[in-house]
Amino acid sequence: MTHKEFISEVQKVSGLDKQVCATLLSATVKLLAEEGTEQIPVEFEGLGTFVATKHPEYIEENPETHVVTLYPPRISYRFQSQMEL
Amino acid sequence: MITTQQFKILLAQYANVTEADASAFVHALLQTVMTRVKQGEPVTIQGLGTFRILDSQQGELRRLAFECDEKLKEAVNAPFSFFEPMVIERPKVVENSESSESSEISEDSEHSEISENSDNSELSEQLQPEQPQPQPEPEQPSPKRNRWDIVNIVLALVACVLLWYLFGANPQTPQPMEHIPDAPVVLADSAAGIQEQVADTMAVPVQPADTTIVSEQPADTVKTAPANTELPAETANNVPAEPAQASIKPESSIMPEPEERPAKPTPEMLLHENGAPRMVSLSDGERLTLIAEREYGDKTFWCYIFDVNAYRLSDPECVPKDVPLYLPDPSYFNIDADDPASVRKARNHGAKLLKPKQ
Repeated sequence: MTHKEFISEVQKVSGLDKQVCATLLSATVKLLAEEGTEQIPVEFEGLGTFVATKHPEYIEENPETHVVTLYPPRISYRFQSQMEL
Repeated sequence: MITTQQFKILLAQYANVTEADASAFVHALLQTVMTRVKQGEPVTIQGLGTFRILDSQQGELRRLAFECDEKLKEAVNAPFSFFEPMVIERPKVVENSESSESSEISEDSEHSEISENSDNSELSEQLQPEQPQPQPEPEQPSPKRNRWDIVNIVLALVACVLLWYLFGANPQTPQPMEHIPDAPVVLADSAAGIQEQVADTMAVPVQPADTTIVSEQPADTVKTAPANTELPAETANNVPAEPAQASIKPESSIMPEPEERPAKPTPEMLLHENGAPRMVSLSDGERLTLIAEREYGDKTFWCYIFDVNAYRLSDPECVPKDVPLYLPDPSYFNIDADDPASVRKARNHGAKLLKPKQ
């Protein structure tokens, strides 16, 4: 299912305009990104929870080349399902 | 945590739509995803990710998986986007430790080999690892220290100049008295100036002398010059005085400056009736007046004693003790205590000597 097909189906279910659906979908993605930056989990009832976890910076040494590298911090985004399958 | 209801409100504010539209959209979104996923069809939302069903290895359990989109990853990690993985150089300390470890291992191996080959204790002592002794660092002169050295040198120079000004440049300032040895002093016969000076003082009007006798002089203080001194021979032959080895040099610290130094007395002033000069020295509490009264019968004749010794005395009121002084010949200066004219002349001469120098 592609993005256009998804928007068309959401439009049919919600009864909203296609352009409004596209705008709301784009806004939903941006909101999830902002909340993830602040590491605030977002829960969708019946589907699951989007959780953002921050990993601090770390130093890793290559055992073969003995090159030591400092990696910056990063935030990983994962999804915890609540869906009953 | 943000719940579904809170998310609908936030979405309505963010997208600038009504909450009903936002709620309908969220509801439709969740229903579509769950429907499609339950049908086993992966759902891809652009900018968010892909939802799909993953079958477990046993085939009985199924779970919903979400694969995050790269754009969402970049958006979430936007605050750390300017950081990049950085390669860190290995610290040198680690290399040194490794090298030291390797050297220790090699030394240990050598030590073990030799100890196995021989039991010589000297070799084992030589092979013991020498501990590095910290070498003292050479002291480097600090700029502050050099600065203080210069200041000290300047202060020393200033002190020298002040001392020279106070004691060397001004002849009027009192000079410290030094001990004059008892060795006979060679006299010069070029002291005719003293005779002229004494003759000049004869015409000075009489002035009362203020000299007083402090105490009586013991008789044993009067000395006679030794007969083997150079003075009689030189004075008899009228030879100009030259410093002999036994004689002392002129006392520069007691005598005034060379241009103002009185001339040495002539032999005629010093040789008495027996042909030898007589010498005397002051003891504690004595003055020239006491010597004059004892030797010549009147204290006013002290001025002649000072005259014949003026070449090495700077002040008649400050004559150091234990200094051998020549006694003048009474006949040369017409010293007669019974003659009022002689006493008056001596008094005038003494008053002239006591006048403050201008």
